[in-house]
Amino acid sequence: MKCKDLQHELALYVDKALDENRAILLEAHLQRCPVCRQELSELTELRLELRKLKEPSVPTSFVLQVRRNAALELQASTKNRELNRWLQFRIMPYFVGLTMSAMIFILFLVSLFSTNTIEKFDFSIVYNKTSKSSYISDESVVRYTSSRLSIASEFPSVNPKGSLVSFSRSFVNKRLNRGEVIIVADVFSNGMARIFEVVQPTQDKEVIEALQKALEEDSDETAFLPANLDKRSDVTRVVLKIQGIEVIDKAPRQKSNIK
Amino acid sequence: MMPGKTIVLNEQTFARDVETQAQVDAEFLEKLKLGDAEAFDNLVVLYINDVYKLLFRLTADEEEARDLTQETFLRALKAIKKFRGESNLKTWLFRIAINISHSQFRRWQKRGFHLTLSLDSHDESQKEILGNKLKSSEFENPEEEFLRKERELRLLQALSLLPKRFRDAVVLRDIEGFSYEEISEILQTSVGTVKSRIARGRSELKKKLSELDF
Repeated sequence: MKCKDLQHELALYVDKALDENRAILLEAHLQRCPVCRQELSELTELRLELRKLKEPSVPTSFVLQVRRNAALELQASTKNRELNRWLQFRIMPYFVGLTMSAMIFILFLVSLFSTNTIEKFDFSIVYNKTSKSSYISDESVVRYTSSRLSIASEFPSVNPKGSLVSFSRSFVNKRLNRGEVIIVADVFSNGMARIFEVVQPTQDKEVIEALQKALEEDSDETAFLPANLDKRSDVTRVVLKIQGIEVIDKAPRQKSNIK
Repeated sequence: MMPGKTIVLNEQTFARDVETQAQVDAEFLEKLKLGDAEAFDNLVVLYINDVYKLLFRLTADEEEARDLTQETFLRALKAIKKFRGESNLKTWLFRIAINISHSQFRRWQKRGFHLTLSLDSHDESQKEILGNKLKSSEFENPEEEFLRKERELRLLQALSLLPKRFRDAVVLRDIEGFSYEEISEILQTSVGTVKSRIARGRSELKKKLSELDF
């Protein structure tokens, strides 16, 4: 055992914190080594001196001051706690209600704009289009409209050569086999129309956009015949149901479109 | 002469006393957590001396010790709800006090303050030269009193020169008399580290004392 290595153990030995085997070895060393005995003696004396240090007195005025400050702090924190509790029980329900209402309102606005994006269409452009006079010279069209005159004021005549028929033939067959499109639309005097509301399908934007395009067709192939042929009012609101159905017959299978 | 009541002191009585004390402590702690003003006032009265003494030993400055004691109780008031009762209240308060003294010590270091203690230094609370205070006698022999105070000042000065981690350990063990386990709880470190710090702290303290002698 080297004296230098024993400094740490001596400090623990003074506290009786050294394990038994190490303590026996250290005691054996101490019997032989006066330097370490001196070191032990000094450590013991140091501990005694530290223990004997006079205890500082705490001024009574200081104790009172700490007690008063603690009481004030406690009072303040209690008030804060009461305020928090009040906020929690009084304000929170209103806050939650208000937030929920705001969220519902925002969702409503979002859904409104997302389903009616097509309605950004300029109404005046359609409405102000002049009707096509070329229809009047087509005898088959005149006969067709004449046969529908009794119901045409409420059910505008679809243009047999128009864009709506083309749409139903080309698009609906591909996309709506046994499916259907239901919309509410305004039909104008010039035979053009615009979607007022989509009832079904609300999610298939491609179909609705194609349908909107067909309704807005402003050439000779407008979706409906002009109002003067139907003797209907300038704007007629209709429900359009476009359905793809399968007709089974003895003849080879074919598909047809029914409005 | 009427026979007096016989008081039986045995293991059962002791166990019952311990149980009762634990129940009292638990109720006291519950009141503290609920923000009971009277309970907190009792806490201050019970422990203010111990906390102040510890902080005075660690800072060697009465005014600083008073400020830190005040801060310790205010922080305890805020933290009591989180106290889970794993250690006793005194140990818990000492832990707060030491943490506060550490942060204060770091502020001192940043500001470049150095702890010195001199016989010519002023005791701010009394507005009196510390050397003069030593003349006041509690003992019959003024010379003996003077030498005792001088030794004490020298010891305090040596303590203040120790690195903080060693000073904390030595003060808690040799002045406050805590066990190694309690010190490890207060300093939140292992018992092995505590042993090492105490041993090195004592060794360093001896060196500082001999340096001051020359």
